[in-house]
Order: sequence, then C-alpha cells, then structure tokens
Amino acid sequence: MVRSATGRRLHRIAIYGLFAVVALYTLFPFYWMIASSLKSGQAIFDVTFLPDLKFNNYEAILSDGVFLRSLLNSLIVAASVVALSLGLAIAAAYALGRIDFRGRSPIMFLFLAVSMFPQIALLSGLFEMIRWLGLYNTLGSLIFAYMIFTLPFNIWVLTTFMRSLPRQIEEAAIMDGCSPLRIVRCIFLPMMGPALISTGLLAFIASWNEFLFALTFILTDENRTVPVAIALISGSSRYEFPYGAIMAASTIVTVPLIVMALLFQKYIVSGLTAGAVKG
Amino acid sequence: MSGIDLINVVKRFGALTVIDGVDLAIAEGEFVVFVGPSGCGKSTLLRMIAGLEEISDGELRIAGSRMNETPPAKRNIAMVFQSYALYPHMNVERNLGFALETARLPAAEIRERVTKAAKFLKIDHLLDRRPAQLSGGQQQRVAIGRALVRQQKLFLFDEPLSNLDADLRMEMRVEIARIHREVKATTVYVTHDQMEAMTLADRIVVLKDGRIAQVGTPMELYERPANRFVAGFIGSPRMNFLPGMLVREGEESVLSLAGGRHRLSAHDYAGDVSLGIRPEDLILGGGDATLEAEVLLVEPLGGESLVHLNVGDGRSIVAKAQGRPEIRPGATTVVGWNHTRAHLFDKDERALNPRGA
Ligand SMILES: Nc1ncnc2c1ncn2[C@@H]1O[C@H](COP(=O)(O)OP(=O)(O)OP(=O)(O)O)[C@@H](O)[C@H]1O
Ligand SMILES: [Mg+2]
Repeated sequence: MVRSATGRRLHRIAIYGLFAVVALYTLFPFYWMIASSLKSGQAIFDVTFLPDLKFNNYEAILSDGVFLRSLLNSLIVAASVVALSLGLAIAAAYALGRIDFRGRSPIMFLFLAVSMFPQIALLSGLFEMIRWLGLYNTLGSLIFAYMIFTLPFNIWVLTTFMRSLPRQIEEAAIMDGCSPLRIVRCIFLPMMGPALISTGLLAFIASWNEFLFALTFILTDENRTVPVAIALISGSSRYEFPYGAIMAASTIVTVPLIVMALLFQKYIVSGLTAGAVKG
Repeated sequence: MSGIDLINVVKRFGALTVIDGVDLAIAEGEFVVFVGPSGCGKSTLLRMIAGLEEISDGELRIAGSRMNETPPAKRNIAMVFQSYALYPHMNVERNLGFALETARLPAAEIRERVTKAAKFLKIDHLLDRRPAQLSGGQQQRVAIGRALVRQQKLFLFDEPLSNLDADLRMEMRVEIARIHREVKATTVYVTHDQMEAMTLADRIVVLKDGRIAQVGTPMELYERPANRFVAGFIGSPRMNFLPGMLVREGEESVLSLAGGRHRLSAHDYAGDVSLGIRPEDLILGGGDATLEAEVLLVEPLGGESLVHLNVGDGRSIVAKAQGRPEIRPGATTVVGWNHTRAHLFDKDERALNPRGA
C-alpha cells in the first residue's frame, strides 16, 4: 500500500502503541510476580514497581525439601504424561488417519466430546477409578488422570496432521518393503516433528500446571506436585502469609516453561497450524 | 520368468465397478503402456498389480504364481509414482538406499548399488541434497533411481513424467527407454501422453470404462484400430469421422456419404457406418474417393499445415498437408483419400473389414 511519509509514521506509531498495550496487559502479572519475589519481608506490601533484588525468598524456597521434592514430582509426572500420551496418540493417529475401518468418525467425535467435559465433572468418577486401581496418593494417579485431557487433544491434532501427509509417500514406503511400524518410525515421525513438539509441549504445560486433580488425588506432602505445594506453602506463624516465598516458587516453576516455549516456538506455530488448516 | 498375467480381473469400490474383467498377458521383459481417458481405471489396474489395491475378482499372476493375497513388498516390484513420493527428510543417498536398508542389506553393498544407480542416472553429484533442493527433473531421476537400486524384475510407472515441462519430458522419455534397454525389466507404464505411449511401448493397452478396448503394438493400433474409440484415441490430431450408409450391390458395397457415393470391395455388413480417415491420410485435390470441401482455416505448423475443411452437410474435418498449401479460407476445393487408408466402423463402433480380409 502506498502511504505518505506522515501517514507511514502514524501507522508505525499506532502499531507500536497497540503492541505496547498488549505486552503490558499480558506481561505485567509476570513482571509483578518476579518483582515481588525479589523483595524481602514487609517490603512486599509497598507498591513499588522496581524490585529490591533481594534473594532471600529464593534461598528459603530452595532449601525447602518439600518444595524441591514437589518440583521433582512435577517433572516426573509431566514427562511421563508427555511420553505416554505421545506414544499412544501416535499409534491411534496412524490407525485413525491412515487405516480405513468402520466407526472411525464416531471415535473421532468421541475424543472431541471427551476433551470438552469440564474437569470437575470427571472428578468423582475418576476418584473411584483411581482408588480401584490402587493409585490413590501416588504419582501414577496424576499420570493416569492427566492422560484424560492430553490424550484426546493429542490424538486429534496428530490424526489431522497424519492425514495431511501425502498418501503416495506411504505407498512408496510400502513398495520399499516397510512394515507399518517402520513407516511410522522412519517416515511419519520425522515428517511430524513440529506436530509432535507442539502437542508434547502443550501436554507438558497442562500437566505441569494442573491443580484440581493434584489436590484431590494426593494426600501426603512427599507426593505433591508443584502447583499444590505452592498453594500450601505456609509462613513461620499462622498470622504470616508468605507472599515472597510463593512468588519466588512461582517464578522458579514458570521459568522452565518459558524457556521451552521460546526454544520450540517455531515448531509450535507450524505444528498447530498444520493441524488446523487441514482439519 | 517374470511375466504378468491378469485373468478376468475385476475391481469394485462398493457398488461402483471400476475395472470390469481385464484379461492380459504381459511377457517377460516387455514394455507395456496403459492409455485411456481420465478415470478409465489405468491407475487402479496398475495399483492392483502393485498390491496397493485389493483385487475384487479374478486372478493376478506374476512369474506364473497367484499374487492376489501377496503383500506388495513380497511381489518383487519397484514402482515410480507421479508425485515422485521422495522421503522429504532424507537426502538423496538415503532415499535411494532406503529399501535396501529396510531389507537389511550390508552397508557396503547398499553403498555400491546406490553409487552405481546414481552414476547411471547422472545424479551422483546430488547425493547429499534433500528432495526439496532438487529440480523436478532431478527429483524424477531420484524416484527412478530408488526403483532401480532394488534390481527388481518388474517396474511400474504411474504417469511419471506428467509433472515435467515438455523439454524435460522428452529427455526423460529417452532416459526411460535407455533404462529399459539396459535393465530389461518387465515394465508397465501408465500415461495419457500418446507420444510417450507410441515411442516407449512394445504393446499399448487402450482402456475404456474399465475394459480393454484394444491391445497391440503402436503401429497395429494406428494402422488397424479395432473400434472407433481406439481409432479416435490414438493419433494426433484425431481421426476424422463421417457418417454414411453401406449398401451391398452385387459383388461390391457402396458407401454413401453426404457428399457422394463411393464403390468399395464387398463387405458382409450393410447399414449405418462411420468412415474414419486420419488427417495425414487426407489428400487435398486427389485420391481414390473425393468430396467437395470449403476451406475454413489453415494453421501452419512449420513443416506442415493443418487445413480445416467443411464437407457435405457442414461437417468439419482436418487434413494435414505438407508445407504451406496455396489455399485461402472461403475457397472451395476437393479433398480425397485412398481406400486402403480409410477405416469403416459399424453402428456398434467395431471396425469393418472387406470380405476375405
Ligand atoms: N478409493 C476409491 N474409491 C472409490 N472410487 C475410486 C477410488 N479410486 C479410484 N476410484 C474411481 O475409479 C475410477 C478409475 O480411477 P483411476 O484413478 O484408476 O483412473 P485413471 O485412469 O488413472 O485416471 P487419470 O488419468 O485421471 O489418472 C475413477 O472413476 C475413480 O473415481
Ligand atoms: Mg491415474
């Protein structure tokens, strides 16, 4: 589009202005969290926008055995959920995306429907299942529960992605003597990299942040995951609420997610749109 | 022994019959081309031979043994696809060697075969590239190379050149002919390019609506089409058809057309016919039989010209003339042909031959 010089300048100002508003809106809570985590003691109640750069909250939280333990638990749960739900979703996506069988679309709709149930509606039924499986108060209960919402989504995205891969490539592999397993492993998986990374990352984030199930299915401190552990951080006396420590813990928990999102951002976008456009 | 036998082969998709009883025997080392209009079932038939489509009825034999239930990998067939279907995440070398890798051949042998095939196809300088970094023609060579390294006795091609531009097509056509000469594999090749069919084929199979319309050498199909469909399909520009009536008169048959009557040797058939004459067999101003014609248009093609004419009751036909004939649109002229170059088809569109021929 052709614009005059002033028009162009106004245009640019407008764009940057809008950008600043959006950035402020989305980033301010994070900034506030980090700034608060760097204040010590009573300073947290003063409304100042610049942090003090005091690290005693971090020292406190990182020497807290229960918190460190919960970090490890979260890592175990999230990593297991990612590995299991990707593995199962790949197998399911191959069947749903590449093999013609009766009842394929009812199954797809079932997955979609399941992923739309509100979490709270599943809670009591899931609780019974977990007790019945003997998983109560173990990390296994959370892995089991989180698959309920990560798996349908992963299957959905990977199936649409797999459908968009050219049929002739699969047929060429068949003519080259590949078994279905080898087709998936050597041909489809490398071509599906972006979709795998984005769905895996979303599953990781969802499991890492989940609160309700983690609160319900875990009884004892040593099995807690991070979101619940943070909520249960208490001060030295019952009259003191440890905002500083909570903010420091939240920061520690958020950083890995941000790092991962930045690392993989290129793939997230291409993976999600590849699924979306062909849907 | 690696011939292919199709015995009354049928393919149905639900209620739709796509291949309707095909019988064909392909000899070892033969180059057979399937042609036919779009949707006639060429690809489906090829894919049934490959094992990518189930055979609904009938039998497929390769080297004499029934193959209907044999999975594609065990049929010892190499196939080249229209879209090349190269593995996008592997470089050329791995693309070429992938089938051998799958068959767990020793690395040294894979390397040797890949190098040999790459040299043969003149792609040995591209081994490190990904498919996306290759031109269409180079991708096509890799696709052919991938079939070559497997050293199978049977090659299938599904319109391998249709994504290439005219020059490259010609170049690759020559290349495929050379490969067939040297490798001598039995080859089935699908195309809708007549030029490819005529130049490559030992025999051409013309398919129409899932049935074989005619099988024969390129010259047989050109000289003696078995029916009107094949006559119209083979040859470019298309054969001209004029409706007429064939009547017996003693020891002769008489053909009446809109523009005149012509005496022919005796035919057993009498009734409605169509007369077919190829543009290159029409003679401006002469021949055994002639018709009055009005010149509509002259299209010079360089060495020869296409002359569009109106004959009889306003039917337009095309004649091919050498050089540039000295006639103008609007002029009237005489167009003729020799009886030996004319084809007659009965009302069921089957070719008619004189009694005793
Ligand atoms: N999987 C399928 N399900 C239903 N019908 C099909 C299927 N595959 C092909 N057909 C039909 O079978 C017929 C023949 O298809 P085929 O692909 O063999 O044609 P073709 O001769 O190769 O045509 P083209 O020259 O356009 O490639 C078509 O009418 C097509 O619609
Ligand atoms: Mg086809």
